[in-house]
Amino acid sequence: MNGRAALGAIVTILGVIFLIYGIAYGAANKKIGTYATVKFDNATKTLKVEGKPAGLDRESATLILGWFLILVGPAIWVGEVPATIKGRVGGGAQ
Amino acid sequence: MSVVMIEIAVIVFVIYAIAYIYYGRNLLERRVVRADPNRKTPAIEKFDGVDYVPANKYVLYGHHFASIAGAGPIVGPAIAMAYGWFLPLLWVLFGNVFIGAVHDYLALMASVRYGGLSIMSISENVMGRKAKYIFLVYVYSALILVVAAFLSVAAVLYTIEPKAATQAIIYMPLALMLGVMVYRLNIDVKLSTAITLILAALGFYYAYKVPLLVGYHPAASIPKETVLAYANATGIDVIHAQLKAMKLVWEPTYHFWVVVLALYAFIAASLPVWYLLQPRDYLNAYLLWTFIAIAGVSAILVFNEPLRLPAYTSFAPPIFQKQPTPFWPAIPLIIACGALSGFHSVVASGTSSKQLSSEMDALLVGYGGMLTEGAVSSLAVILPISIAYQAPDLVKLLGSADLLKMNAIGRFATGYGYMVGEAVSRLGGSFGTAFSVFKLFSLIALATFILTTLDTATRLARFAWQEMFDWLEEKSPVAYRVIANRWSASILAVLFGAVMAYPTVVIGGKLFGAYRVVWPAFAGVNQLMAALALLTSALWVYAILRIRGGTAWLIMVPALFLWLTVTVALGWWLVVVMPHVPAIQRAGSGIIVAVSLLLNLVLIGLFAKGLSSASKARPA
Repeated sequence: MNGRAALGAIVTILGVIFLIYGIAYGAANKKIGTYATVKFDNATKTLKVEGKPAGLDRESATLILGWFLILVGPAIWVGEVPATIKGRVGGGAQ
Repeated sequence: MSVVMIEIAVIVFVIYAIAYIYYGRNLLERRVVRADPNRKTPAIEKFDGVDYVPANKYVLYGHHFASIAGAGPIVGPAIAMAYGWFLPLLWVLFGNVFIGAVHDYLALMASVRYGGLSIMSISENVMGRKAKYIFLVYVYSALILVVAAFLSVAAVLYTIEPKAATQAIIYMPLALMLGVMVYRLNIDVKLSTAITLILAALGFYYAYKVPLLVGYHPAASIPKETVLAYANATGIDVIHAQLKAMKLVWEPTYHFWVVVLALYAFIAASLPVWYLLQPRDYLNAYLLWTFIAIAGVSAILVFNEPLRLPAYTSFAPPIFQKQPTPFWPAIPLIIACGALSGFHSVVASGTSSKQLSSEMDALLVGYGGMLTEGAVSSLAVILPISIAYQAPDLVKLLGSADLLKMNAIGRFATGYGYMVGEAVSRLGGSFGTAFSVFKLFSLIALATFILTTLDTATRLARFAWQEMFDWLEEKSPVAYRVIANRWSASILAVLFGAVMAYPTVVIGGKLFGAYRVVWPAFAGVNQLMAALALLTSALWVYAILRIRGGTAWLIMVPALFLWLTVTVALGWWLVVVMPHVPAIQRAGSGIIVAVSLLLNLVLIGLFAKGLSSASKARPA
């Protein structure tokens, strides 16, 4: 396995692990990430968000990162055109 | 005596069968294009493993359909039901058979004969070099608008319905897995498909139960009492208080999804087609056929349901900006994909022509794909809405069944859910349960095609960009490689789209992606593209294929009719509708429509010139 393929394999495997983690978390908690609620703060006369900090939750971030790693990982790993497709064009001339 | 479901369904089916065999195969394929199974297609001749890759004809049919469909065949006919059911159905059938399917098939075949070039570049051969670049710039701009719109629509969908986001996250890796199983591991196609479909079904179930929440989720997080308390305390009106809350919780989530989806579109449009696009669209085809088969079987089971919606309501009901909208010339601006659409010619001569294995596959992909869209519009939208309108079971369940008071998506989902629900109840099942399950299913089917259209539009924008700079390739190959390589061309398309989708604007008290400022012009721009693409194809048939007599006029007359209709419609839109468009949208969309009309006149002049010089040439 050359360097490119090894990198692709690592990216793919990490992607699968992250994706499975996110999916398993969702199955256990019935949601991935957390809900928030808008509250009115009478003292400052402003709206505030309660229930979670701004930005991404760890679980949803992990799932989306895993998704991207899976999208690109196999392309790096098995980058070249498969023989089954080359066969259709008579060997193919890339 | 009222018309019943099965009468219209049979008429629709017979018309499509006759059209496919006699108009499509006997006339277009055999007499006009003279498709040749032995002639090598660009997918074989220019095979590069990235964009030029031969595909199985059913896979390509799935790709073509999923790319041209989007929400088009559903939303347009649902809106047009304001005319009653007869006129929209008539336009879908007439437009489909004589204009839309001809337009798609000829664009596909012309592209195949010109090595996979787009219909815009082909125009150079029949209308001159000027036409090519005007057409390319015009279509590129329209594609950027499509990328922006689909980025925004998908981001809004995932923001307000996080379960749709879960479904997308699961669906794409499954498609990839299918490709690896078939192409890499050489596992039998049937077994690989079965495994993937089982996992996809489990994925749908999982997504139905588990939402993917990023940023803040507004549906659960803006209580009405909070908005009222804020409005009372600060003295601002409720609409502005609601907007403030939306800005606080809706906008960060929306922005996040725009960025994620832009990154996805960039990657998906740059990767080889065999890697994600082909297996994903193969899966899409299963979803599509499940959707249509359920509609077809239900239509048979509820054969005697009367069409409760009036056949005809008015020739000019209030549609665009609540202004009286005459059926002619406005109908192509309302019903696009269900009858004809310019975007289709760009897909046909973009991704589809580069994957066609044999010229004999083109009829199914180009002509058949368009007829399928018409079948979705008529059998899964127009007829279900017509029988569901004021249906007693629906009134009992929902309290009201005036579907014309719902928005277009609501009309479609309720109509589809009702038709299947009625069919299930006749088999002894529960109407209420089946109605809610299949209403949701119809929405999932619709949502699945959104990402397909997004990444296909990005890939098409890349092709158009590369063709726009073809003159540079000889002059400075290095500069061409920097400006127009697949990565830079894709990132530019995505960046332009994201710039129009990311900022938000307030229109009518609601938040939208900024692209909405010019969106009212899109329907006209898209249909003008269709008219110009069909004129180009007609001229290709006349000047290059040297077809003369009645056969040539069978293509030329619909092309000129469409051009005239769309040109008059755009003029009507500028005079009647534009003054009533919200101020923030008026200038942008007005300028786009006006510029389109000017370019249109230039191009029709070039068409006339091309036709005149072709007429002087001897027929074959």
